[in-house]
Amino acid sequence: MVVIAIIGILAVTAVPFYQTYRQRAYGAQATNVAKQLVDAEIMRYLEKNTFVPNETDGPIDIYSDTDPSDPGFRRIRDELNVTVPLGNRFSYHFSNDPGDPEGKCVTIVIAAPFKLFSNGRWDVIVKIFHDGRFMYY
Amino acid sequence: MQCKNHPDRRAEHFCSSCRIPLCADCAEETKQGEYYCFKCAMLVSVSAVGTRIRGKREKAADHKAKEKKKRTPFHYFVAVSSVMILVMWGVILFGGQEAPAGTADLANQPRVLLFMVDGALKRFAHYEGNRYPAQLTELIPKYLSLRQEDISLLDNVNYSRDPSLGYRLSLAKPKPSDMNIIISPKGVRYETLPGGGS
Repeated sequence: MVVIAIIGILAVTAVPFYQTYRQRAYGAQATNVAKQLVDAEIMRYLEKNTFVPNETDGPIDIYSDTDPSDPGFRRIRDELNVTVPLGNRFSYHFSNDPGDPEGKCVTIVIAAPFKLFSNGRWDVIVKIFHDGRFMYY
Repeated sequence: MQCKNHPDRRAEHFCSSCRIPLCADCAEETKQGEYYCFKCAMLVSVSAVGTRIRGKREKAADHKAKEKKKRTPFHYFVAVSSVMILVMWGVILFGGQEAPAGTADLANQPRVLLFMVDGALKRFAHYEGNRYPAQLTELIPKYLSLRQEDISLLDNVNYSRDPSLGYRLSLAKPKPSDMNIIISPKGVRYETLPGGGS
């Protein structure tokens, strides 16, 4: 009985343990991708004086089931030199806001359909400014 | 002094227990130099046997305790399982990935919130059969990560479904000096507010 009870407790504990472990892995990956994109956007602005997407473009959306031939995915890959991971349940949203009172900036949202961080957030949001500042939300 | 049992004889010893005077015949020497009357000698003798039995019992109990202390595979299993359960709960409670450092508050950034909601609406439409939610709260938490106490931030955003465009999203309270931003699935449009604009 004691053995069965212990195995039961182990099994019940293993589910949230696995979820936390997976959340930690995905959270770390989302943070790393966000850092790569921030660096790439800053480099892009220094070279071309514009972000991706630029002021006249609409937002770029990349979903977890987006095909690699998708124009948005290819723009990020070709213009920012960052291949965002597909098929790992992340979605990406890039938007430029030329009307922002702080000047040229781009906002990147990396979202997952589950919790990514210990503070309960399901996404990473970073806003990059033309002067090289960036801020996580 | 006379013997207690033989008043006609002279006492030669005293009982070590009850201190009565005893002649040579009445005194029982149980140990070297220790004399007892018959009654006390019997008691001492019985007591010694009791002590020996108690000693044996104590030794047997010690032996059993030592045998109990020997670790069996079951004990190892229980110990290892307990440690594993504790570690797992430690990871569950404290092991989540930390959010990026220096995270700012969304409350003062309605434009960031607007783009965040725009992305959430597009994800909702993509994964939920190309439809849009009746209310923004339907996006929480799967498509829009807002804590319960932050849901009121959505008051800063005007959202309505549009039969031709899909939806229209704009700032509810833009600053007079800023341009309002109107987002739809077709793109982003800016509108100069009366009395201002940049």
